[in-house]
Amino acid sequence: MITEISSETTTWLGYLQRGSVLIQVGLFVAALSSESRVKRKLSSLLIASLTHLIVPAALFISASVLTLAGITAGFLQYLALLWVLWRCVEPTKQLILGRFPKVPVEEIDKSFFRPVLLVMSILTFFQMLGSRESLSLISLGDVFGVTLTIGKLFTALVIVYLVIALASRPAAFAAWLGGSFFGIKPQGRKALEVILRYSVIGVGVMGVEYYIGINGTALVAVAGGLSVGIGFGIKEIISNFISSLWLLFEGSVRPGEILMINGDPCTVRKLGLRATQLRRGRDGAELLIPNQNFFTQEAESYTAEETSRRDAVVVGAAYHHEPSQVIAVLEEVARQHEKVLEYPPPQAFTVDFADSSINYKLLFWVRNPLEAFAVGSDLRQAIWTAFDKNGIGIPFPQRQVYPMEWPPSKEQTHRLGSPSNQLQAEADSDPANDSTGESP
Amino acid sequence: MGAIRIKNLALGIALAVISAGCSSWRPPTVVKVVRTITNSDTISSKDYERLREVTEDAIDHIKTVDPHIRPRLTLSSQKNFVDEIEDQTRSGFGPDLLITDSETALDLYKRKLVDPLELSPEDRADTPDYLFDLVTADDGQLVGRPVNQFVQLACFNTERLSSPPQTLKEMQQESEDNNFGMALQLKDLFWSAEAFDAAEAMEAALAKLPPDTNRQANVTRWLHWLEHASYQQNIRFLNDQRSLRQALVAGDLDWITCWSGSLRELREIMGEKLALAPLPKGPSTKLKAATKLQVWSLGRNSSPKQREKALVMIDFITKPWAQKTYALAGRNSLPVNRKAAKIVAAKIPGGTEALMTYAQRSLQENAAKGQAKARVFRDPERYEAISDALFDTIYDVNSPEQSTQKILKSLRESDS
Repeated sequence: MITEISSETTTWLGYLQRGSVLIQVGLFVAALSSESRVKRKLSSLLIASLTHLIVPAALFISASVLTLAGITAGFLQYLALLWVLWRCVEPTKQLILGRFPKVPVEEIDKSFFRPVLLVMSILTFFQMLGSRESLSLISLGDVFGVTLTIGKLFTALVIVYLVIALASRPAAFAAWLGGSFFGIKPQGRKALEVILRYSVIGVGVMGVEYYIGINGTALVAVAGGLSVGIGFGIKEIISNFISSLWLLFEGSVRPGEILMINGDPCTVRKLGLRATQLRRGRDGAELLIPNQNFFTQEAESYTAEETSRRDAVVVGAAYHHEPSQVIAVLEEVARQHEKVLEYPPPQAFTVDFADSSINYKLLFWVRNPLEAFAVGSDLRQAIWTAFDKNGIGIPFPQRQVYPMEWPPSKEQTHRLGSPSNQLQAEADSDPANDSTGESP
Repeated sequence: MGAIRIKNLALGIALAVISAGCSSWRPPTVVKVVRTITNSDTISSKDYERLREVTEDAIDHIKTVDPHIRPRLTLSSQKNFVDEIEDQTRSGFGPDLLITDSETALDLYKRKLVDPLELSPEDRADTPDYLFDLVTADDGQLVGRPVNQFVQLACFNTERLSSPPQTLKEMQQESEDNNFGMALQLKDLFWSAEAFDAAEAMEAALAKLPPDTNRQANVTRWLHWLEHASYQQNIRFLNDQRSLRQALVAGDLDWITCWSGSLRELREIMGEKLALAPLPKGPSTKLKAATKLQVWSLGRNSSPKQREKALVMIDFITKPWAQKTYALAGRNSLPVNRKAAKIVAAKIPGGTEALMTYAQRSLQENAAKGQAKARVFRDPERYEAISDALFDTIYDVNSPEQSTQKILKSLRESDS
């Protein structure tokens, strides 16, 4: 391998013995280094977006003219073309985004255009050097009895990348088509899409293996060996992967679902192959929970069958108010709130005869579980207002503090301990100064 | 800031490279040599292994002659060869030497991808003139130097066929027991045209001579033979030489027409089973030798030093010693040098008498002088027209008489 590569390198060094090649390289480097100066000079005359293109385009045009005139400038033309293409990427993206904002330009650029440009540049460059075939035939070693060459490895990598990068679109289309035809639910379609995508990738990778020449028997042997490794080493990953497929088909956890994770409502954002991404409503934190957790642990869903959620507000009213009046006020307050569902209707219940109040629980339903917290807050405020309007008091325990001496004088002890001088009588003397209120 | 530094660094490297190129110290001169192979559409690592085997000694010998030469050989398939060379030459990366056949060399010259060669009368002395004619362009320039000749032979499997047919008639008779194969390409079937003297009629048509019924009749007889052969159950026409060789190796065919250039490959696979014979004779009594000429041409991008070394290599390879040595080592080609050809013809060991016969024939100028062939093969339009006419005859679309008229009309309309 080393001999062949050094032989190729010697051939390339031979090109540096040619004046025409050196001049082309020199011109390109000169253009590259003078670009900033040219741009500065021309910045006032041209539109800003064109200044990036002016030097590469001028170089390309000059090289093309020279080539047409029969002067050896093809390499310069090639380098300038690559430069122009590179500089055109951003303006083209902006242009497309301006006209079609929904087109995923960024994704196409990064996952398709740039890799394609890179591969094409490599191939055309070595083609121009006349080394593509000889370089591609250089052997890297034997894999499962098959000689792996640079060309085969390169092609295999490119195909695998293309299959992985491009499999999602046809899979999504096929899933949509199949889903529409067979009337599969959206979550089922999503599952179908994932399965189709990975099937395409699997078939692509197998195809590449056969292209390289690795036969099926060797693969089976490798798979057998790997399965033991998988059993011990990466079983968690495989388990999560299988769990994700299962969850997709089952549809119990899907994007948009609200799940209670450790008592907090969280929205499912993305069902990944290893973990599910959730957003916690309380603080907006992103949670990544391995998919198998949904199999091994119970998850509380507010949206498994329907999305509406029931929440409650507990409030106490003084003993002297008639409970039916309080319940009527509470239910009316809930009915007035726009986000409280009419059906099931809000209901209030008397739940406890507590120490200082009769406690009531107002149950209400909201459409969006994540809004329950805010609606609860609104209702508490509305209840305060409504109670105030109806003269209903919300009692609360009070604490009174008396200064004491230690050790207590005889008189004090006597006074505090005597039945005729109860604590209540002392409290009546100046409640305003010494009492502190506590909210319930 | 970072971008400026990178640019300065690039500028520095470029200057260093340029100054290294211009400094007084001279590294060995790399001479890039590209050789076409016709065996397959794509090059395999096996082709490179064979190339290394064949050229290892030759490169060592050349280095002994001139220690400053570093020849680097690459292979290229015939398909798209000219276009690829055009791209490389336009960019300054074209080869210094091109080893190809005479027709391709002429095509390359037509597209200004090779430089003409100037040879002194002394250099020309040992090579038959008609070979130079085959590589002389319309403007009289020599587009390459003839080095080797590959001859067309019959390759057969000795386990299936004890004695190969000597005549076309015998071939049709033997086809009841054995399978014969030919490639459906004008280049590969032209020997049969020569066996019927049909090539003369084509030459006359090319020279725009008045139609002659006798000459036309030869073409018709040739086409009748082709038509009749296609009716035979065991005479098969395959697409190309490669398919023929594969069928012979697989045992589907017992006898095929083959070019001496691919003998090494067949010998490696078939071993003792492979035997060679001259192609069957037809009614013509004239000596014929179907040959392909290998020529070395000069690329256009070479530096003066590279050009000088390329000429040293051409000079070396056409010297009688090198011609003899490599022809005997390869046993698949004949040298163009008269002196070497005589030695090779005498030394070719038993079993390759066919090569020897051709070696002797090719020394006789009249036998191998195929002006018509060369001119027809050089003209893609005429070539296409004659090929189409052949297909139409074999597939019974046109009668041999109609095809004769078509072929001769097309040749008469040529510009050359």
